[in-house]
Amino acid sequence: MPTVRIPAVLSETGGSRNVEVDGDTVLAAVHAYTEEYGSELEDNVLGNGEVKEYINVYVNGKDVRDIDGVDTQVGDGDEIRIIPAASGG
Amino acid sequence: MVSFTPDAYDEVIDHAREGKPYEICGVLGGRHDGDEARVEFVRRVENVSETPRVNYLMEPEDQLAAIDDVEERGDVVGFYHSHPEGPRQPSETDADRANWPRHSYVIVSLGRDEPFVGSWRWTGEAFDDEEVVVDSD
Repeated sequence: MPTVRIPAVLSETGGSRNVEVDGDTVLAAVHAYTEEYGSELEDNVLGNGEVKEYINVYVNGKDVRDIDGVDTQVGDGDEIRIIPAASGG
Repeated sequence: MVSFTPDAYDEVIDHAREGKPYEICGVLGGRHDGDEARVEFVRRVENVSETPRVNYLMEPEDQLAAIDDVEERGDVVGFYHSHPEGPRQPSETDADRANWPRHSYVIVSLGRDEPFVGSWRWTGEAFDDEEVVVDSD
């Protein structure tokens, strides 16, 4: 199973956490997380079925926007990381 | 309050000056414990904004690598960027896009005067001005 690694800034518990989830794509993994832990993470990360503009999602350190977005394939041992983008004016 | 080591303070100013007329950005590393934050080192990150004179957007994989680098040595204290022509305060865009609650957003403002380094803690809803202190050597 892939692992979802969530930083403290996006964790409802206030601490970072690693969670193993089912799913063979990023989207399926996020949905599996929602089933287990509620929708807060998904609400923060996804909008209209895509990664929100100022959120970065990585699989094994690679930005999924440069792969297949939320349809990026994941499998055993893969690490999904979610990091709020740093940006401004 | 956020304190800087002299080297870290000089580094953010040097980075801002080198990058002018474009905005530069990076991750602040050190110790982050509640209201107290201490910047001991910084990690530059590439600005890939399409409008870099007035905006910054950290290159996503570089941002991740920077955070990993910082976390090997300490905590992510926050982020810094420059305003090459001012103002000293966060812009509306800064507030619209801020998304790291409890972290410091440092702005190095360059203008006609000496560089100004200010810091604001993002509460999740607003920026709170915080004191910037440089440690003595």
